Amino acid sequence: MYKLTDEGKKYLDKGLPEKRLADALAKGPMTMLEAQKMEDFPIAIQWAKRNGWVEMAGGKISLAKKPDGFELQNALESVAKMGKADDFHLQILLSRNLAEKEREDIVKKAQQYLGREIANIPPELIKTGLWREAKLKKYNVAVAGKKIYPGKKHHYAAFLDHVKQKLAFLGFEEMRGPIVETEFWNMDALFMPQHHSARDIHDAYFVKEPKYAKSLDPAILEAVKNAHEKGTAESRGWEYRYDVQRAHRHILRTQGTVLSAKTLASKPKIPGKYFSVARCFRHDVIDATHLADFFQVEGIILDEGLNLRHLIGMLKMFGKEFANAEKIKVTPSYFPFTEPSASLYAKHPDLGWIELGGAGMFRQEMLAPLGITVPVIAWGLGIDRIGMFNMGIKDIRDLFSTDLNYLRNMKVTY
Amino acid sequence: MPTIEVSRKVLERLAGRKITGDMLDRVKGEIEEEKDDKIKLEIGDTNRPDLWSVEGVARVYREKGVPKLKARKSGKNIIVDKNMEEIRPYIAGFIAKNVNITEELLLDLIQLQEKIAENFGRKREKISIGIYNYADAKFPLHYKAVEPLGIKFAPLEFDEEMTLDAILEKHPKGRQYGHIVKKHKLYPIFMDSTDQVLSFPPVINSNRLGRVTKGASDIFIEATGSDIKPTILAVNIIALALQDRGASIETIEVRYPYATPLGRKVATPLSFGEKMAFPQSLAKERLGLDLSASEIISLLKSMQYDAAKKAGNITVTIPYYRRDVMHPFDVMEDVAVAYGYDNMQPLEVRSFTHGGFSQFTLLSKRARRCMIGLGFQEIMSPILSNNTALQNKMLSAERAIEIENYMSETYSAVRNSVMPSLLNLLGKNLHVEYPHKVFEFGECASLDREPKSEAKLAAAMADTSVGYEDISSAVDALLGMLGVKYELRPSKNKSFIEGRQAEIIVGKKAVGITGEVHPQVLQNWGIDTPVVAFEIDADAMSP
Repeated sequence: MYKLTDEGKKYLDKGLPEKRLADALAKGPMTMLEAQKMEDFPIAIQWAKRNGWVEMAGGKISLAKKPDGFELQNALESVAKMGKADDFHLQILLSRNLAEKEREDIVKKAQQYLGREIANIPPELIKTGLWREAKLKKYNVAVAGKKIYPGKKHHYAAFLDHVKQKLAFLGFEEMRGPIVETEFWNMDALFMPQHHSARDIHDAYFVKEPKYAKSLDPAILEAVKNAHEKGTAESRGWEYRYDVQRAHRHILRTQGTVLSAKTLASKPKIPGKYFSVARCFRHDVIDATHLADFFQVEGIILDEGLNLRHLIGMLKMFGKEFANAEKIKVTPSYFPFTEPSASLYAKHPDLGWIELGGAGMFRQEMLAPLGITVPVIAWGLGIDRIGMFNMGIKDIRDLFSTDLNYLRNMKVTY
Repeated sequence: MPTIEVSRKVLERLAGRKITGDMLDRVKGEIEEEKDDKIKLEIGDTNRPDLWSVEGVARVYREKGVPKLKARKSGKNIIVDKNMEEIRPYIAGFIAKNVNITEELLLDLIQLQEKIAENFGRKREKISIGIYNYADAKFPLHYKAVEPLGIKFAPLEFDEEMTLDAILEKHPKGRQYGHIVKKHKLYPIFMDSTDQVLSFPPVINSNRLGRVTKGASDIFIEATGSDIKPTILAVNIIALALQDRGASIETIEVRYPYATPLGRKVATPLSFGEKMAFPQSLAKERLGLDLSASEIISLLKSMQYDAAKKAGNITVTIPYYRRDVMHPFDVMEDVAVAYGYDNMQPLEVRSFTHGGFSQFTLLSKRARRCMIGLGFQEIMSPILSNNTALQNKMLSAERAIEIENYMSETYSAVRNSVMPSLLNLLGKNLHVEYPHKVFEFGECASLDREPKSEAKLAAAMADTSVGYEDISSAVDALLGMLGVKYELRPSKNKSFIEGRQAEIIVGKKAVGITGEVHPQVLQNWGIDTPVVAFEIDADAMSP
């Protein structure tokens, strides 16, 4: 909507200056002196000339052509009456500052919303404060909202993030490594003899091609071979013939401890704390409690003067941190690469004592070939199981569920 | 870990005391199941076959110091053939007299025999054991090598006499253990002095002379193996178990025509008499325990070691039925077990260290946060897959790393791409409300010259109206948020529709792909809505 400016209103009453000039000249030519005495003459002459209505000669001004009509004057009237005019003339009025855009009367608009029930609240009501008088419809607020499916973390990935975060807070630095490994790093370097039962074709997955890694660090290989065959200082070793070819055999990583072995072999910090969350693989029948493809959380602590009591202290702290368990126990255990060894149990309200993980001090026969002389506490947590308890999952296969509804509806716990 | 079944009555009678669950720490044991009198007991130590019997467990609660094995000389011999040196060189045995073989004792004995041969003897490869009626065989006995077709006898559970080759082919045990002997030209046979076959080690006993039934009173036991000490160890363990059950043990002397680490005449059972120096300071250094020498000695005796103090060191005699003690730390652990982990005051690790995440985790956290912001649901899938999923269904020719000894076809290869995991999920959720927007940041491995482990991020959207622009917008938003400069270049990947796919180029290298998934691929996965997807190498997203 448009309205007239003060100047526009004046011309509405008096007529546009060029119209007044044309009207006066219609009665006969005037001298310039006479004409200049007319009101608004500079404007009148400018537009009358532009319209080709007048001509000037010998100090006189006369009508060149009688105007066909006064369309602009009509447009002026139209704006005054209806707030609009044809676009061509409206643009002229606007450019001559005779008309301007009318500010909407938001009060008026807002008032339209009063007196009836409204659903969405219009901005006019909020701006004018008239919402105070408006009647807002009351909704049935007890109805749950329409389902939406936002992006979110996978529940187990979120839990693993939480575990990593916790370990980083506790001063552990994260280790990473490949999922395709050699028997050497996965087992030999951990002082697991090549005939150990956890190494046969019923326990580990062997890679079809290429069967063997091209090379292994010859110095470490030699040191590990000697430890297996003849032992290290004070130890008699496993007393068998070590198969160097077999050490190169490619397998899928069976335990996260391989990362600890590699860290120990690459000049770790002392004191040092390291952890890993590693995907591991075992030749297992898949059921409610077993996956062929699972996670292990492992770590090591290296420092002078560490002893079994530190290990027990650390395990008890882990029980509280990760399983939030009130009752925790640490018992003697067996692992091929640790001595002494321990297992960590937590009391579950329904299921009784649950094994959370294992730990120990790495054997000298394992540490010496890797060049480590300080005591090393090693620990591993059955994180899949701990995660299941924490999230109330009964079947381990649900960690890899392909049911999108299940994933969408899973609570955000971490 | 070996699990044994024992009678609580027998266990407590042999131990001379009640046994409760919390006492099992000493044998690293855990009760798996208890019903009436029967206990299923899991023994944690895979290196202690001496504990894999009711007698062995009871001993731990009864004995102080190394228990004596009171073996008399029987004057009986086993004569070994010179060809055995290359085949299965060692044999050991003993006679147990005045055993009252009840059904229960027989089952316990067979259980111990099987646990040793299967777990410690590596499925009979390293050790196998036979039990016989003493009265049936004429000594001296012979352990010799014969032609596979040179001899016939009826194996256990068969009446018909068969050649050794026939046994390997027809008898279930032959099929199970035959591979151990098949690599040799001659096979081992164990027979008496009248050439009657007692057994075909390590495969099967004779049906006639190789069985013990209840009611028998005198029996003899033999073990054969590839290493002499473990073979004798097996015999020592069984002899002690039978002595614990009231038998009188008599030695058998084995005569070798070749040298062994223990000589040419070896009477078994045999105490190796191994001793080890145990520095007293270890208790303080590694266990954090202030123990005097006499306290350590008393703890060791309660774990069936003999121990005495000698010039600042403690000298420990290792029981003749153990081979797991190879370092003073092994002895030290037994000191700790005897002391009780529960009785140790826990200590805090005080050293200060900087914690932190790997580059992989840092990137994964950022990229996943971006994807979640874009409205995608994260999924997590197995890394193990198969060629049908990775190649056939994807119309891809890219070879994945395969597993030689897979258990099920479903998990017979390592995924080289995350996309199949996403499509697998989409194909299983046709009834679930659309749109589907899923992603995974996951590990893969590819077959370069060497196997290469890598991480990839893939995302997919499925809905009736999704198109190329939906996914190229997601790629643009993701890489924009991560600050990665990229270009798209038309590509010809068979998994996607030509003309509606592009390679993602970062620094002139193709690091990923984005586009509309090919309808044939959708059909292969059982998906009936259009799907757009992208996959990008994690490395390319690193700063």
